[in-house]
Amino acid sequence: MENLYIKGQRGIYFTPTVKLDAEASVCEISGESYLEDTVDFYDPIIKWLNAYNEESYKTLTFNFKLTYFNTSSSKAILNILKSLKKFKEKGGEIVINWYYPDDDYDILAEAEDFMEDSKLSFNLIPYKLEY
Amino acid sequence: MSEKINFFAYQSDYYSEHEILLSYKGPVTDIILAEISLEIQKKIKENPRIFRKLHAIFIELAQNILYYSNEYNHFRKQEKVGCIIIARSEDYYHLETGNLANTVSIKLLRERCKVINDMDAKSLRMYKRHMRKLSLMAGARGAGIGLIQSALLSENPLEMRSRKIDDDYTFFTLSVKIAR
Repeated sequence: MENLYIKGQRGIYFTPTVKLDAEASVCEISGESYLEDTVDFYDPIIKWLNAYNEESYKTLTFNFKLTYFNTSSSKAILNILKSLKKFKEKGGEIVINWYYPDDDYDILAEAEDFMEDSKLSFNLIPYKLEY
Repeated sequence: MSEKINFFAYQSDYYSEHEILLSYKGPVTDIILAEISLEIQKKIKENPRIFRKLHAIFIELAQNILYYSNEYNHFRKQEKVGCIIIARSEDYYHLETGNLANTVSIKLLRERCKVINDMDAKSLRMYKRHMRKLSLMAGARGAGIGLIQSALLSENPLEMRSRKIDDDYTFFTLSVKIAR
């Protein structure tokens, strides 16, 4: 299965960087997410995860390293988590790492809420964001 | 929540009580919003925490203008029109949006603000999760939780003021404040 890579951009809208690596079984979404068409942007990611779910049993690591996402993107994140949950229910192993700037309690709270909603556990990892 | 706004003194009243960092009235397009975002960043770069909150709230409330505004200009694509003010007072940063809307939707908005303002942070978080799930199940495009998110991020109540222009239209403002 092919890898999916989308380079993040910051213009009128903010596109996150997306790296979905099937061979390494590591996925990462980083940067900022505020899009003209959120559904359109996240749809290939969900499709990729569903395909992974069909084809692989290897432990999948998913790294979230977002510094900003609007509420519409937060819905898309919940959708990603639903796909990961399906993979887990099928017997797959997943590791979810949620990186957050160490001074950003709002992003940390989002992670806590996502954990409750998805019933998945995350590793919460603070890091220093350079301004 | 005060009920009425003096529409004609609206901006001048505001100017006298706050240090205005940015004031805009006109078409609300994605390009204008991006410019305002950059302006916010320039003006508040010394405080990343405030910037992040203010910027995130700005994005949500701007969507609100796009959703509710009933004033259009008549160039090309009939862009929606609204006002955006960002200001500073001794203890707070303020963000206010104003636009004309259907009188019918004002009642709904006021009820939404009341529901939000009556909740503490913990209940608000639960309410946000609940509404996000509903919106996901309904297959809606937006999340419909912009106002909840604005209240959560600002850690202060939403303030809504309005003045009926005629039976069909009402001008209303929504403001949030963030402690400095």
